Amino acid sequence: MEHTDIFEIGGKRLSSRLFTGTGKYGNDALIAPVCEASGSEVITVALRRVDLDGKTDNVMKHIPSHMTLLPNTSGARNADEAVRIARLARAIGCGDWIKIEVISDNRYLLPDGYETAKATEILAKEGFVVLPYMNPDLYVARSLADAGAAAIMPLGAPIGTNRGLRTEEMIRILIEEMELPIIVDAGIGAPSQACRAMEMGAAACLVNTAIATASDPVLMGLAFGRAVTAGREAWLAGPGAIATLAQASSPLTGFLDRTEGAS
Amino acid sequence: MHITVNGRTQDMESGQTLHGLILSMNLDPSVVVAELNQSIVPGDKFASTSLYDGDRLELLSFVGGG
Repeated sequence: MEHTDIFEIGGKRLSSRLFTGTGKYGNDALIAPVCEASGSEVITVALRRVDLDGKTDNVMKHIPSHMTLLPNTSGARNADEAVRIARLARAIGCGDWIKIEVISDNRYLLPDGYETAKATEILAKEGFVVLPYMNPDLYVARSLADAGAAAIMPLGAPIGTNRGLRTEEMIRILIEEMELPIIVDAGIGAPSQACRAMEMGAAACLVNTAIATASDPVLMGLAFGRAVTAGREAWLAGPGAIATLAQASSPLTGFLDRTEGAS
Repeated sequence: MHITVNGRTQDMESGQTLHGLILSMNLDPSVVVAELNQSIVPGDKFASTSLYDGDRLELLSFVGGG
């Protein structure tokens, strides 16, 4: 199946449909084993001022070299700030993928669709592979596609909440209506929820908090990797029809001790 | 001379290069990105970039994030 189910973003062929993050780990040394256990090949990072007192651990040394780096623009409150962060991230020399995150609401960390689309347009023109984080709204998704996004990343629930696929119906519509890959980002709290997103036809899932804050992040990474694969395979297999009344799975004829032919 | 690094004013000898400053702060130049007076300085230009009184420098690096 892996040979025919091709997943490509920005010209890069990926064999895993699970993207992971590097935030919130109690111990960053777990990042590499999580990558290995989960099979993930794409990982997010954030860009921040270096700690002048020299106390910051370098997260890069924990990220396996084969991973595709997906820096985010967290901290950006408008398109201009997102563009500035994206250009700085690219200048470090770890590729040209960027997850646009434009947020000015600090309570629910919901993305600003208009500013996100503006930043997407500027950065796509500059050759970035742009993956915008967004509220699952069809019109915003269309404007992001027009702006040159490589994929669309709708939220399942607010960032870091582990509340699951609360926006399932809206994500279903995006999957149905959009040609771009739909990567469910934010809110996924359990492997079953990632599996559900994949069964619906999502192209991939991005999971950070649910893995990083698990009691055993490596085992949870393994579980998410398997759930995403299972969900993808179920989508490819084409689920059978849903019925209201029971549909017997065993023949309804030829029972013991019955008189045949009376219908 | 004085330059502002990440919002903090610092006193330093004149003639210092960006590369020298980064090393003096015990930072690995290969994982740092610099923005000098709002312009990005590529890593291969750190050594040839001199700092001047009043410069405003931002030094950033990747950290954990989702």
